[in-house]
Amino acid sequence: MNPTRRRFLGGLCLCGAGGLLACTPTDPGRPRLDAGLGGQSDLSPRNQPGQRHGTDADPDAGMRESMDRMERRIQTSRYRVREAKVNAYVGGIVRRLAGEFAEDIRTYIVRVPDFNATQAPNGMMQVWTGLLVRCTNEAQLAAVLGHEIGHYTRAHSRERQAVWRTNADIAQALAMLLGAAGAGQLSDLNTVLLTASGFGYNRENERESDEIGIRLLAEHGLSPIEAARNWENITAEFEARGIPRSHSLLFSTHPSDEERTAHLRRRAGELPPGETHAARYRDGISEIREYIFEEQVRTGVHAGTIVIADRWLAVFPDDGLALYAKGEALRLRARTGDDEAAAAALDAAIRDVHAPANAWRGYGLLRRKLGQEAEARELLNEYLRRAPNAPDRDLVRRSLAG
Amino acid sequence: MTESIGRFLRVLAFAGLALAAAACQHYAAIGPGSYDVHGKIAVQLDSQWNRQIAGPRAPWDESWTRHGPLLDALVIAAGIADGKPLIGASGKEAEQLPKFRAGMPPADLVTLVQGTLGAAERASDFETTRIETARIDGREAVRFEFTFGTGADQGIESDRKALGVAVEIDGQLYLVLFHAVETHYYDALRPTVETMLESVRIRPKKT
Amino acid sequence: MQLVSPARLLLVLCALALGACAASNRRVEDFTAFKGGKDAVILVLPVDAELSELSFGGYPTTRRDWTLAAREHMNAHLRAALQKKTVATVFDETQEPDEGTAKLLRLHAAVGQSIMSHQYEGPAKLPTKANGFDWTLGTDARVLGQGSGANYALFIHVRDSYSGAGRVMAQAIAAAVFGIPLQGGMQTGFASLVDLQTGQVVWFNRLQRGAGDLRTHEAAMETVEVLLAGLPE
Repeated sequence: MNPTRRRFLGGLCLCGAGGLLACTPTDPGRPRLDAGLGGQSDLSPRNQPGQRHGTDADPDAGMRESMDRMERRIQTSRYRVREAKVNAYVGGIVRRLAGEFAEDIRTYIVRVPDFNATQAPNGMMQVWTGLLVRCTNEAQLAAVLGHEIGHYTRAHSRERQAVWRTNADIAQALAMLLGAAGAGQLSDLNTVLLTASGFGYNRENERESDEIGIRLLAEHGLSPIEAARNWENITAEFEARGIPRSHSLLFSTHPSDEERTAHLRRRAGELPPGETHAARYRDGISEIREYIFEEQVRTGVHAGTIVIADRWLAVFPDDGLALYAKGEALRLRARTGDDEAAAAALDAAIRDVHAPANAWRGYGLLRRKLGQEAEARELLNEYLRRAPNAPDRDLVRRSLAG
Repeated sequence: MTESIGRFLRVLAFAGLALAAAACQHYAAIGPGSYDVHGKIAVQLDSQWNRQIAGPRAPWDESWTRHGPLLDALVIAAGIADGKPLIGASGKEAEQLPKFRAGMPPADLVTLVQGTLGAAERASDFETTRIETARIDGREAVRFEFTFGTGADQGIESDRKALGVAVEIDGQLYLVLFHAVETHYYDALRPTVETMLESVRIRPKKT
Repeated sequence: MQLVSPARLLLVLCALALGACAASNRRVEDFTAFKGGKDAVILVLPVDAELSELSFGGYPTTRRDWTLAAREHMNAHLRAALQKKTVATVFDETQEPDEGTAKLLRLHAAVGQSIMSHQYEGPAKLPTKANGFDWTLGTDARVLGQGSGANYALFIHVRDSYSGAGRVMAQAIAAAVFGIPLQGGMQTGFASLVDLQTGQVVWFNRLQRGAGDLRTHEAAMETVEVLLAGLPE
C-alpha cells in the first residue's frame, strides 16, 4: 500500500514520494546535515555526448538495449502525454540544461500522479504528471530535470550496476566462508548484506545529482534555492498526510529530505540568485493543468491535494484550477470545518476563467448538502451548461427536476 | 529507471513474492449456483469463477477472477460503514485511503472507488464515462462505468474498463465492481456480470 | 569474461529439480484446432529475448551482444522451422506500431503472463482453467494480421542467463564443499500461437530449464526446436 514501494525497484529516480523503506521502523538518529558535495567537487561527465548505444564492450550496453525496447513501448503507451506544447516546453528545458547532451536525452511525460522523474541509461527520461502538479515554477521543475540529467552524464546506472554486482559477489563469498549454512541461509545472508551495502552508494549518486542539478540552475539563470524548496515542499506534503519520513541510514537509497534541504539551501547561498519563472511555467504546462489537478483530486489523498493546491495559491491566489482542487479535496474529505473552507475555495474558483466545469458540480453538491437548494440548482445548471456531455448529466438533470 | 539493478532487486523481490504467493495466493472455485458474502450479500452465478482465498488483492471483502487478475477482476465491498475505507487496511495504510461517507453523492462515490483502485492496484488515468441510477434488489442504486490503466510504471501495462454498482443502506455501502482489459475481456464477461448483478440480494445488518 | 562450458553440466543438474516439477502434469491442453499446413500463414512477431551473464554472486548483467545475436539466430531458425510446416512471414519491426497494434501487443503480454501463472500446476492455478486450455485475445486480434495476409501470429518470449567464470567457480565450490546445487543459468519463456480470426491461443509451449544456448547460431537451433516442439505439422 505504500504508494511508492514499486518505485524503489525502478532504479534511478528522484524518489521523492517515500521510497520502499519509508516504512522501515529503524531510525538510527539524526542524519548528517552537512553531507553532500560542494562547488569544488569534480562532476564532469562520464558518458560521452552522442553515445546513445555506446559499444558492446560497455558494461551497461545490455541495460541500454533493454531500455530502448521499453522506450518503444512508452511511445505507444496510453500513459504518455502527447500534447505538443507541454512536451515542447518540458523537453525544451531538458535540452537547454543538458547542453552537449541535448540530443542524447529524450523526455516523456507520463500520467502517474506521484512525485517522480526517472532517467534510464539509454537516455530515456520520464517526467510524471505528479511532479508537474507539485512544482509551481520552472526553477523547481528544472532542479529535478537537472538532477536526472546528472544521473545520465555521470553514468550512475553503470556505476551502480558494478557496485551491486561486486556486493553480490562479496556476499556470496562471505556466505561460503561462513560455512556449513544451508542453501536457504546462503541466499538470505546474501540478500541482507547486498541490500545494506548497495544503498550507501546510491545515496552518493543522489548527492552528486543534486549538486549537478543545482549547478545547472545557476548556470541557466534559474533560482538555485528552488532545488531546496522541492524538498521542503515534499516534506510538508508528507507531514500533512501524516506519513513520517523516517530514515534508515543503512537501507535508504536516497539521502534524507532534511539533509538534502539543508545542504541545497547552503549551496544555493553560494551560487548566484536567479529567476523562478512561475508564469512561464504555468503557461508551459497549461494544456494539461486541468488534467493534472483532476488526477490529483482523484487519488483521494485529500490532505496532499490541499497542500499542493495551497502551494499554487501562494503564487497565483486567483487560480481557478488550484482553488477547485483545494475546494474539491476539502469537500470530499468532509471533516469538521472542511465544508466551510471548501465553500470558500469553490466560490472563488468559479470566478476564475481557469475553473473546470467540475467546480460548479462540486460547489452545487456542497450547497445542496448545506441545505441551500436554490443556490445548488443554479450551480448544477451551470455545470450542465458547461459540461453537456458529463458522465452524470442524467443524474444531475433528474435531481434538478425533482 | 529500470535497469539491471532494478531487475536484480526485482529478481530478489520476485523470489520473495513467489514464496509469498506460494504460501498465500490461492484460488477456490465458486459457482455456478448461489454464493453468500458473509451473510450480507447473496448472489446467483451462472458460471464458475475463481475466488481468491488469500493473496495481494485480498483486502476487498471478495476478489474474484475468471482468467486471472491481469485480465479481469470482480470485487465486492459489503457493508462499509461511514468513515471507513473500501478495502481492509490497518493503521497508517487505512489513514492514507479515501473513506466512504454516508450520503455521498453518486459522483463522489465514483471518485472514492477510483482513489481506492489507485492506491490498491496502482491504477491511474481514470476517465468516467457514465454515472446513472439503477435498481438493485429493488433499491435505488448508482451504476457507473469508467476506463483506466494499470502497470504504468512497472509490469505489464493494461487498458481497462470498469463497471460498478453501489447501494447505500442504513448508512452502509454495498459495492460490486467489475473491471477487465477493455479489449475482448470486458465485453466477453459483461453478460455474466450483468446476470450476477440482477441476482444481488442485500441483507443489511440491523443496527 | 571467459565462459567455461562444463558449467552447463552443473546447470542441468541443478535445474533438474525445477524441470521435473515443471514438466509434469502438462497436457490438459487440446491443441488439435491448429492444423498447420500451407493454409496457415504465420506472422512471427519480434522475438522478445534477453540474455544475461551471472557473476560469482549470481548478479545478472544483460549482454547486448548476446541478446542481439540470439534474436537474429532465433529469427532465422524460426523462419526455417516454420517454412517446413507452414508459411511464415515476419513482422515489420521498423515501423512504430499503431495504437491498435500496440494495445494487442500489451494484451498478449498479459495473456502470456496469465497462462504462465494460472494454467499450470502451482499456487496460483485457477480452478476455471483445470479442464482445458481456453485463452484468447478476442477477435480484435485481426488487427495484427492486417496487411500481412497472415492468419496466425507467433509470439516468442525468452529470458536466458549464463554462468560467467565466477559463477561456475561458485557453483563448483557449493557443490564440492556444501553439496548444494547453486542456481546457474536458466532458460525461461514461452511460445504462443494465436489464431488471428478468433483470437484464440491455439498452441502454447513453455520453456523452463537449465539447458540450452542461444548465443551461437548452431546451438540456438536446439532451443528453437524445444520451443516449437509439439507444434502441429
